[in-house]
Amino acid sequence: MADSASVNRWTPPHRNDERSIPELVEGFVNDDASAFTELVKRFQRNIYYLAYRILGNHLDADEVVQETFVRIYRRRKEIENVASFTSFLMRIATNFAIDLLRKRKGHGGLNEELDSLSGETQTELSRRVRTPSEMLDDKVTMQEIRKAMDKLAPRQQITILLHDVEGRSKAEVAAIMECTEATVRSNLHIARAKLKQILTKRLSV
Amino acid sequence: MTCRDTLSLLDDFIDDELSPQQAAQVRDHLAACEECRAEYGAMARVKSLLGQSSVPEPPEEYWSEVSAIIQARTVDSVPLIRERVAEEKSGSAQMLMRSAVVFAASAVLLVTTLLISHKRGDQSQSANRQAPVYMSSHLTEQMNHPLSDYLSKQDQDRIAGGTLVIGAPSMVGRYSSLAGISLTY
Ligand SMILES: [Zn+2]
Repeated sequence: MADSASVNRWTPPHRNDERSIPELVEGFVNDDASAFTELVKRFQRNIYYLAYRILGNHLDADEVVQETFVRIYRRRKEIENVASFTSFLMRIATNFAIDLLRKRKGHGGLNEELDSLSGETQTELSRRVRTPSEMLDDKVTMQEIRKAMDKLAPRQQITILLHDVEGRSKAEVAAIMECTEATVRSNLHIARAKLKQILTKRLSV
Repeated sequence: MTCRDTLSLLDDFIDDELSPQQAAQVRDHLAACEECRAEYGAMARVKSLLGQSSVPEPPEEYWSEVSAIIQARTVDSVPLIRERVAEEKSGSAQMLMRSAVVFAASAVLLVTTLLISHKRGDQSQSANRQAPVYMSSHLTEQMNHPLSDYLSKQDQDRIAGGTLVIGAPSMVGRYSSLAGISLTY
């Protein structure tokens, strides 16, 4: 595993190759094997980074990358258009990653417990935190963020990863998660509040 | 604007999704209210930390290797199975799948730990290994060493029999969903 310096956010796959994404998707749906191979090349990184962020290790990220493409290959006839290809692909990836995550964690009580944090509790929390911006300084390492992310319920984790980490829009996140934008907003709010709480507590201990 | 109103708009404020008027109202309140300002500072900090987080890059070879494995598990596996079915009408589906996957994957593959454990002379671990492991043929050539330098007689037999394939050090993976094959590393 080489340098971790680069901030690998989601970026639209390169378009400098001969065929555009819409052309490739069209070819893929019509059993053009070379189109599929090219789509794998263009999207494998996006899936790997997302899976790594969810699962935190190379082996699991690798499994998600492989399994996602194997599954979308088998289900290629279900793809209706280009827009649906991207969200379908990312949906397969996130669903499989969530399954793996649940397997790795076992059936945890902690997440359920955190899930039930009400709005009131959050406000109470914010009152307790006197100078949060001072506490949440650069000492919060990426590893601590990872640990904090682990405490979120899977769907909240994915939502905040797609939106705040990868910089996708709420509409895109909603398409991938098969939910409304309102749900994206509410999951995002809960996830941010929990992360803030966990990270702040971690530092003050 | 009350504290309650402000806090309810903070997410959208941070995401820059408020109307200019609403944003101005939030800004005014934050300027006047220390408590809400602290809350805003913490939330904005969390979002900015998340935006900076990065993933360790796998070795560059990983991308072409995983593409090849995906190829072997999808595009290449179907015609191979068909050919085999046409050739020999008997034989279990699992065996067909296995030979198809192993054949397709012979252009690919992996497993550092295997190589490392053999270099260390740790034979016991591999002796118990039942699952097939993969290795890339072009990488094997690049290694410039006969397999006997790395592998036990038993594992060499398994390579000959198609239940063991070996590969690039970068390509350590888990292939739990290959039909009839579970890989260890
Ligand atoms: Zn206030």
